[in-house]
Amino acid sequence: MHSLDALFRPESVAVVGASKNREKLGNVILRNILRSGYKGLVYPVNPKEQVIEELKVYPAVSSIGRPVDLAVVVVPAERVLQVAADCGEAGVQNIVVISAGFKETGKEGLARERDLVETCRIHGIRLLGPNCVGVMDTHTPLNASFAAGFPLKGDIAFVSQSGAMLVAILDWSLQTGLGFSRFVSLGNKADLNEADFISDAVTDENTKVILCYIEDIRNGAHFLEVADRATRVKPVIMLKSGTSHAGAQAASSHTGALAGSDIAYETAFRQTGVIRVHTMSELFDLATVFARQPVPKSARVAVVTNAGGPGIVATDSIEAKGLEMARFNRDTVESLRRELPLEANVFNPVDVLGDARVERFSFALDRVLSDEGTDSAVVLVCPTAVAEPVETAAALVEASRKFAQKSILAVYMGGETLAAGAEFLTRHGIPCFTFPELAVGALGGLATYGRIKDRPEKGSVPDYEEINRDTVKKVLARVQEERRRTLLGSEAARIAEAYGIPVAPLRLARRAREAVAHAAELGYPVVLKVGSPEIIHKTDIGGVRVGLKTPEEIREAFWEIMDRVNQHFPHATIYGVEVQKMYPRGTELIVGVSRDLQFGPMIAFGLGGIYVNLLKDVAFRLSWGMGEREIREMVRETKAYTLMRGYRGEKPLDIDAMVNIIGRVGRLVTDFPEIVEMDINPVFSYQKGAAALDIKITIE
Amino acid sequence: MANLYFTGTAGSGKTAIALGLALYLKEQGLRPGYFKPVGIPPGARTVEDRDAVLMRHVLGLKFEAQELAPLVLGGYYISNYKDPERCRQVIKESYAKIKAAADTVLIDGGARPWAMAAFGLDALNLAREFEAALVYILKPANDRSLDEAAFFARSAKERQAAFAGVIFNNVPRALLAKTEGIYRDVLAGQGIATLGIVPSSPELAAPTVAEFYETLGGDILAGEDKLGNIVEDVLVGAMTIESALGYFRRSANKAVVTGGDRSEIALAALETDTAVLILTGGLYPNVKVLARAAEKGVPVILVHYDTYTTIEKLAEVSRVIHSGDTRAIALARESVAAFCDIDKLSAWVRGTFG
Repeated sequence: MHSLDALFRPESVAVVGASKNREKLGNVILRNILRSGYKGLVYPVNPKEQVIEELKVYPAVSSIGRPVDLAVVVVPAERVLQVAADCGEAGVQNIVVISAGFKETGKEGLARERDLVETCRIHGIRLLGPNCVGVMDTHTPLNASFAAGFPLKGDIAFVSQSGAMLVAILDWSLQTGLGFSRFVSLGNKADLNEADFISDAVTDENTKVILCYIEDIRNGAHFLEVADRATRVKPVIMLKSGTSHAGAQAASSHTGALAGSDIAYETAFRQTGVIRVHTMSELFDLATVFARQPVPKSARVAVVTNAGGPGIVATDSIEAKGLEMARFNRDTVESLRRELPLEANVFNPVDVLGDARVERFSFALDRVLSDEGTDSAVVLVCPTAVAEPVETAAALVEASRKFAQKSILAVYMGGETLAAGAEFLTRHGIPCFTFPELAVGALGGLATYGRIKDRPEKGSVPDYEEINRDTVKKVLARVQEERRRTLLGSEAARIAEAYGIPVAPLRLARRAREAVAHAAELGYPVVLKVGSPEIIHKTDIGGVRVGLKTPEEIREAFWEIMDRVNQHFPHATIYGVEVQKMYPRGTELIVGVSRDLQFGPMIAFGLGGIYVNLLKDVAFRLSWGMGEREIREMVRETKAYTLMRGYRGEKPLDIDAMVNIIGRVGRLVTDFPEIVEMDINPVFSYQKGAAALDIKITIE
Repeated sequence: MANLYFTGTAGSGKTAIALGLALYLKEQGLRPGYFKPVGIPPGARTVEDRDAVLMRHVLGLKFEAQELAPLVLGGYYISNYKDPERCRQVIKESYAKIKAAADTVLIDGGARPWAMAAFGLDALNLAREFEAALVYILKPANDRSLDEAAFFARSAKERQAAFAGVIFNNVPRALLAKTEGIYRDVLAGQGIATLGIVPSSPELAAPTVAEFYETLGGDILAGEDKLGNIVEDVLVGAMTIESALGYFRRSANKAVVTGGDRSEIALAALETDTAVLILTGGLYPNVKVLARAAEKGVPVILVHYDTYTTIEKLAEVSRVIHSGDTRAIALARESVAAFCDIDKLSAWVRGTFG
């Protein structure tokens, strides 16, 4: 797919709203295009001017008379629509609308933005923006933006929802020497969004790493598909802001979109192989290492240091980040012992001692990288009196050439003394950090990607035989007819049963004698629960009675429950009392679903009952791509799994039965998108089988 | 011909029943009149009793709304009107004019049966005065709801006022079977007739956003054209964003009351079935919330009260049918015809009963 080629590599560009006034954006953009070394044709458009920056000016795009690949629009918002229509007439395929005054300004702006999208749709135009900084490609080269400066040529694509972030990073990168392939400012994302640019960057041969800063995701389903495909080819590193409560509120105010649950984002990123970072420095640390170093096969790290303390700090970080300290083979250890001073540590971390000069570093690094048990190396240099930072840097560059498949990161712990060496490293493609934890963090990203890049194809929610969809339809239709959003326990149980989920049988009784009749049918002992869609926490108000063994106990409990409920919720609608067969106590687990606004159903599994909120032992998967393998993986992520395997001599529980329930729940919410929330809590897990005790369903 | 006097508690749907019956009687060739001796205090932006305005329009009555509803039950009505005798006089004069132009007068009781009892102008006294048979309208919530009807019926009989019977109105679905099977029998055992069991119908009974606005005042920031949205539930948005969506999803056609500064709560509400967003504290919301509300067609009302005060005021909101509300008017007529004992009610009007 090369649909965005005309955006990044146009043969001709029109600047609509070009200006003579060098203070104005309409002039800044024009000059940016010219100064970036763009080799195509440039047409300034302005009905009031003849010549701008020595170029002939056209009154409208349609009057240029030659094909225009890209139009950059910088006229006032109220005129953008007209310009877009004119571009459509002229056959322009891509427009970048820099102008603000759209959705971000409120109702009127929203209407204007909708009209703009519609106009573009009619003419088959792809639209970037509005309200954006513009677009840049360093390889074309083209700077169709109003940013001050143009990035160095490189292989990182940066897609940003924040224009300010983009220009700040651009300025910073010029100082640090980091190069980029593309810069894209997304603006309001009225048409083209992050997924489109990730998808396009995958096919761009100049891009090695894709970086994104986003505040929300526009089209969750599209994003999931695109990201899953992209990350199998190139690393996608994402900074998604708005994770804290205050941050989410700020993001909502900023983008006007509900941020959605951060857990859902986290889950979506994990399932699609996107590497998520939480700070801006992490985003660029990772970008640097991905651009400059190979992705290691696995996570075994060797540390070479001239100072013991920092070596230990690095070791701690390596463990904390889920990486492994490499274990050297006997040959490596022997040769290190032979050549290094007696007091040097020849096991990992290798301490070449404070009096080490370049030779010792060079030797040790060569040895540990030759070891098959090493995938990457972190080299720590402290500014001792004899240290040779520049020479050592050169040795690292040399080693990096020799061991091209292994990643090497440098930590130059200091300032003045090490500056020249650090600069040498950066210039020669070895990422250099000031502190060990930063280097290890970045290496962690590399290793993570190494692990997930070649992951198996995603699964899909299993299909089951003997599912009764009609029963579910009937139950839901009845609930909708009553204009309810929440189902009675008995209705939820019927739905679950229809999908083959084992349920402790449950019946609704409107009268006490009906309850007694149900109990006789189900068999004693039974549980009685109030049947009201409005009462969620039934136990709290005395709406549940357990262990009832006789008709007398049932009658008494029936009226007691009705009275209690009436006292606490005098206005609640009571449908009756639910009679449920009492099952032997099992291990209490939970299976839940919440339909996320962006990503669809998200399934949760973990320890249930009263421990849900205390232990928070829950793992999540989107139903998107959730096959049996993913379900088992989710189960294994929980502490509940440890318990189920048989903890401390207990007999193991039926894990397959739980996997089956989760899969069937996934099937149910996939087949019936009107189910927006579902909780089975608890599910009793037994040595053989499992049973859902309490099911809550909310529909839309 | 005799008159009927509809009384009951506030929000039980007296006007809808009177309206439905009046339309039915009109179809039968009768000239029904409408009289509301004790009107409801005006809202934030109306001066006339809204039920009187409605009936005047629908029945084509030639009287001013002020003649149809001559007195208003304000919280200071004693200080305001001072003279009970004068009040009685005003009511009698209005009634005489209305009666002269009608075959039967359907009298709409005040907010409560005992309204203006301190002046002797409560439902029992006025029903006797105007030779009207009392109909008690009741919206059942639980067993206790029956007590007020039974108590009122007995009081009426002891005062020798004619008591036609009880209409269960706006009966929640879950209570329908019980009302038909149990409540009716219990009342019959007390010698009280049940004249109708009308199932709840949100289109007719639930207030609209317009009524909320009427009660609260404030400013409408978006969705001016959606004030006809019906409101079936009121939720307060004071939770964390994680819990908000699940909470809002449990309820349909709801009003969500939250602080104007809580954009994320407002946006969560807009992602679910929300009839109106009420923003409190006079905090003007982020423009993006308004854009989203406009996109979703949800009215936004900004009020200066705090959230608690707002909720308290909302307890007073009940549905008012407007003269332009043709659907609700037609529905009122259908409900009475389908679910009330129309023969018995007609018989009372024609004086062939009791």
